[in-house]
Amino acid sequence: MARKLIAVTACATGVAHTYMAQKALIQAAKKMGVLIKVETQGATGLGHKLTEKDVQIGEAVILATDTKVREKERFNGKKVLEVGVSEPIKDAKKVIEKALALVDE
Amino acid sequence: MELAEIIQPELVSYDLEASNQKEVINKMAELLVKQGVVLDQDEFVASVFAREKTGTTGIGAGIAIPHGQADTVTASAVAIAKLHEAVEWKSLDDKPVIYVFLLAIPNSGAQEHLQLLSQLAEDLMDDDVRAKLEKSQSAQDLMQVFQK
Repeated sequence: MARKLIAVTACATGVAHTYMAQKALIQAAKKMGVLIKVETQGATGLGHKLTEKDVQIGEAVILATDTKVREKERFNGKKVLEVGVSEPIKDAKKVIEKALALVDE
Repeated sequence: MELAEIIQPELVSYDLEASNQKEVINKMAELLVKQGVVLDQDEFVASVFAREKTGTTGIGAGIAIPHGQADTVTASAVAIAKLHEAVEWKSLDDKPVIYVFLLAIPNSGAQEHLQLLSQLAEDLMDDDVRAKLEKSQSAQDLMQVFQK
C-alpha cells in the first residue's frame, strides 16, 4: 500500500516559496509513489486545507515553513518533521525520505 | 485571468547585461519604475535585499525569484530577465543565476494578481517549464514559457 504523508508550506511573504515548496513536494512524491496532500498557508489564504480525516490518515506531517504555522495544534500527537521552506525546493525527495524514516524508526 | 496575461512585454528583458546581483535587481527595478508599478526605486530595492537576507531566492537550476514587498509598489507585477552572463546568487544548489523573476508585491490592497504570482512561482518548479525556459531564445520565448 502506498505511503501517505501530509504537509504544510508557508513563508514570510506568502507569495513565492510557499507554492514552490508545495509543487516540489508533490512532484517528488509522485515520482516516489508516495501519496501526499500539501496545505499552503499563503498571503491569499489557505490552499488545499487539510481536513481532520487527512490528518488522521497521514503517517507523518512535514512542516516546511519559515513562519508561524496556523492551527498547528491539529498535529498534536503526530510524527512531525519541521524543516525550512527552502528544504523541499532544494531536495524534496530527501525531505520525504526523512518524514517516512520518522514513521519507520 | 491567466498568468500569461499579467506578463507585460515592457518588463521582459532578454540578454540583460549586469555584472552582479545588485546590478540585476536595480536594472529590473528600473523597468518596474518606468511602468509605474514601483514609485520609489530605492525603497523597493531595499525591500528586495531585506528579503534576500532572510534566505536566498536562488532556487536552483539557474533560476532566482527575488521579491520585494513595500508601500511603494502600486500593483502586483513581475519583471523577467535572462542575463547575458550568469551571476552569483548564493543559490540552493550553489549554481549561478541566469533567469531572474523579480516580483513586486504591494503591502495592501491591489492584491488581485497575487495569486497569479504564486502560480508563476509554482510553475518555475515544473520540469516542463524549466525545459522551455532553457530553450528560450528571445523575450518573446520567455513570455511564452507560461502560456498553457
